[in-house]
Amino acid sequence: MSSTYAIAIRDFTKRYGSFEAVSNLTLEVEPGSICGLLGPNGSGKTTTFKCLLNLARATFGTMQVEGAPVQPATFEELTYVPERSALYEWLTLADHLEFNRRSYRKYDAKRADELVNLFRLERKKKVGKLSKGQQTAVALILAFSIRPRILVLDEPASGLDPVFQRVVLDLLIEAAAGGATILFSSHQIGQVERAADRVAILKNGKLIVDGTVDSLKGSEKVVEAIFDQMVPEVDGLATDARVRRVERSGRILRAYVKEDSEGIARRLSEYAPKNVAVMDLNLEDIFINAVGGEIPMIRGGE
Amino acid sequence: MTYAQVLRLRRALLVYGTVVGGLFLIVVLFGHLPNATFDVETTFGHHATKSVSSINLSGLLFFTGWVTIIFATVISTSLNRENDGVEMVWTKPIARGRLAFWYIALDFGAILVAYAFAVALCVLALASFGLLKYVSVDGRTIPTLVIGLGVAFMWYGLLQGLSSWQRGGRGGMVIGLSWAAAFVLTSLAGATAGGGLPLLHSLFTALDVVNPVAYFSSYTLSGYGAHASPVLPQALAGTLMRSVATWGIGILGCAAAIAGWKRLEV
Repeated sequence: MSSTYAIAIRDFTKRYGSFEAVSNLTLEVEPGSICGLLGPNGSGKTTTFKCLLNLARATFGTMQVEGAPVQPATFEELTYVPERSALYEWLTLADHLEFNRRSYRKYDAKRADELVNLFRLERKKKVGKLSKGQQTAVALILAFSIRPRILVLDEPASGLDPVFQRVVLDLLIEAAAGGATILFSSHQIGQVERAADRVAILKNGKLIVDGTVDSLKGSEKVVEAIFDQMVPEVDGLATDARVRRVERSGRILRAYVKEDSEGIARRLSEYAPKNVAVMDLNLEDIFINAVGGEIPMIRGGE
Repeated sequence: MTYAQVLRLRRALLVYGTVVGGLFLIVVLFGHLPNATFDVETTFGHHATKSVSSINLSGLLFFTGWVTIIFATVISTSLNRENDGVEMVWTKPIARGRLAFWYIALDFGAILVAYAFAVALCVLALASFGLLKYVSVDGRTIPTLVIGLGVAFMWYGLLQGLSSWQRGGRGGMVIGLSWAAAFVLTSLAGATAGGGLPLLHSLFTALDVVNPVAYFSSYTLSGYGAHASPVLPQALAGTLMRSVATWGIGILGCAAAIAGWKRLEV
């Protein structure tokens, strides 16, 4: 049922001439959730956002927000922060806030004030004179100042220092806690891991990973063995059907294990390591595993 | 939703007002120099005469029409200006077509203000010289007003239509090229009017149907439309036809601009 999803992208394909930027993408985001869209540069994240918001036309497929295609009225409740600044460089922050006030019935001046103070910006300074990070902050202030039900954010922490990146994450989490649905992209995998409850990874326009962060992290285990000296040869480990990949780095051996991680750990213990630990995957592992090679689609559960 | 455009037009009108107002001040100051005199018989001469008869308002409107046309072309690429960052306006709760219509309506309002301002300054200048009593209105006045504004709107509409669907930043180039093309085409149509090159003349006059300068330059001391123009097709002789053509092409240009802008992808 499309109406149960805040954002529903189904069988979406976008072609530019003979080049297929996005192929047959289906992505559904539940209300009140935070979905992180990851992928290397050129993987189709921005194209997906643009087609979702009618800024570009999908070649095939349907894109719905709250059960209907995006219409002008949708933007009363949906805000978008593009990857590249779309602000007017010749206007000040105060002008932009006034623009927002005149454009949205729901504009919340008090919230805007809070956000301006949070990002410590000058209202009277022209946007063109602000740093890239400050311009990102202006775009975020505009997006959050109407308390939207849906936020689509393309690299929302781009150019911000680590302190303000944390602020942005807190804003996302706070908005979702208040019932907002967020679809965002980021190259900062740590941010996505902290904020998102669902992750989708695109590679060459194709969805290769989709699932909740917890289920994806639990889909494999990492068995890490630390040795006193160089990692010894472990017979048959790389070809073991339970092991998907083995990494060796100096004194550390990491095995990415699909099943029976304890059995693999016991096997490594036979080589007298200093320490053996079984760990969950982190999102960075998942991302690198996914985009690093030709890997079949991983579904991480609902 | 049109707040940025309102600010943009306010800024354009301020610059326009400063430049035109500055020119007005210079004219007035020079006009009040001890030896300055005016021959109002031939509108704005600069030698003494006692034979003051009248200043026809149409001549004044023709002059201010040029100033207005310059302003109209400068602001004519407002939709194109949004294209470099169009996400800002396209993700606001308003239909693109409606938003584009409002941009054009605001621009047209600004063109009217610019025209009225230029006329007001001319009237003030005449008043400062005590010449206002010689200003007369006759049958040429309304056609000059309608065609003068029509030409400004036609050029505005053509430039919107040519630029709205292009990548942001190309509007300036379109404006510059349009001025060059308009004068070259008018000159070519005029130069081939002697009868030696009838085929070429027909071609140039046909192209001049969409050339604002060809319409504007068809003004004579008898006003617009009293004579056939050597740079326009015979079918466009007469005030009514030229009025319909200028306003019609302007409207078509604006409609094409809105359609092109709506279909743009970023």
